[in-house]
Amino acid sequence: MRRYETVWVVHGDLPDEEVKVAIDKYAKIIEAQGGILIGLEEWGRRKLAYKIKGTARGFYVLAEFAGLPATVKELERNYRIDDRVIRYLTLMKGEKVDVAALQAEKEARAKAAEARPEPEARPEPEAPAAVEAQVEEKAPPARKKAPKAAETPAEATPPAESPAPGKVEEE
Amino acid sequence: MPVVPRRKRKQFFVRRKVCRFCVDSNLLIEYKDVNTLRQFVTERGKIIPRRISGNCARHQRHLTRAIKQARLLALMPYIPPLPTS
Repeated sequence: MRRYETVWVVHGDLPDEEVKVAIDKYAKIIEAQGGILIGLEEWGRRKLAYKIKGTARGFYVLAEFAGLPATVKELERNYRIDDRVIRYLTLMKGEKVDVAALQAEKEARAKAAEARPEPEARPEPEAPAAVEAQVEEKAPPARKKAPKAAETPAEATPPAESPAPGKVEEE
Repeated sequence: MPVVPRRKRKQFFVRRKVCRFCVDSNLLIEYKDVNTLRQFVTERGKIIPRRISGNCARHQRHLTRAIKQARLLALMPYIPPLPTS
């Protein structure tokens, strides 16, 4: 089995119940096709960078799972049929998976989800997955980090060849 | 830029550009991390070339792929949004 990650975007103008249906459907498909669902993460409604099918909003869902190539094939076939799904992306994350380790990971995640009853509302900054979902929050530290990162090597690497600059130049 | 060049070359100050991702291995290139990716596109949403951003070939390649994946999912624009919308 391989490890995959799939994101699908549900049409943002649909009512919550309908969105829920569109999420559960795919979680079920993964398991029905012999896959193991490791984690399901709802990023929630987000503004799209451009309009798709007349809507500017989409509900993003990320699922991590282990499965066979056939699992993905069936999953994507369903995405294509479903009008509620406006975009999808499936990526392979690993060639081989250890089923026992997956089960452990799955349980760990379920426990973590229980500890945090409202993961969507205000994700903790230390949870890496949640931070990714809330990109807006991450902006200031990321920007702060960048020039600092560029500084270190400049001083370290080119003592003879080139003068050490402050930061990466962007013209 | 407050740079004190130690050597001149053809009247230009040579600024050393370094690949940000080689320097900081914690900085991952992923389509989900839109804020990092956004630093590598222009205002018009175009991917900044390696010659300007200073990325190494490998990371530029990963970056390009990640940006394109993000575009597909409408996390990033292909073209800048219209001012009226």
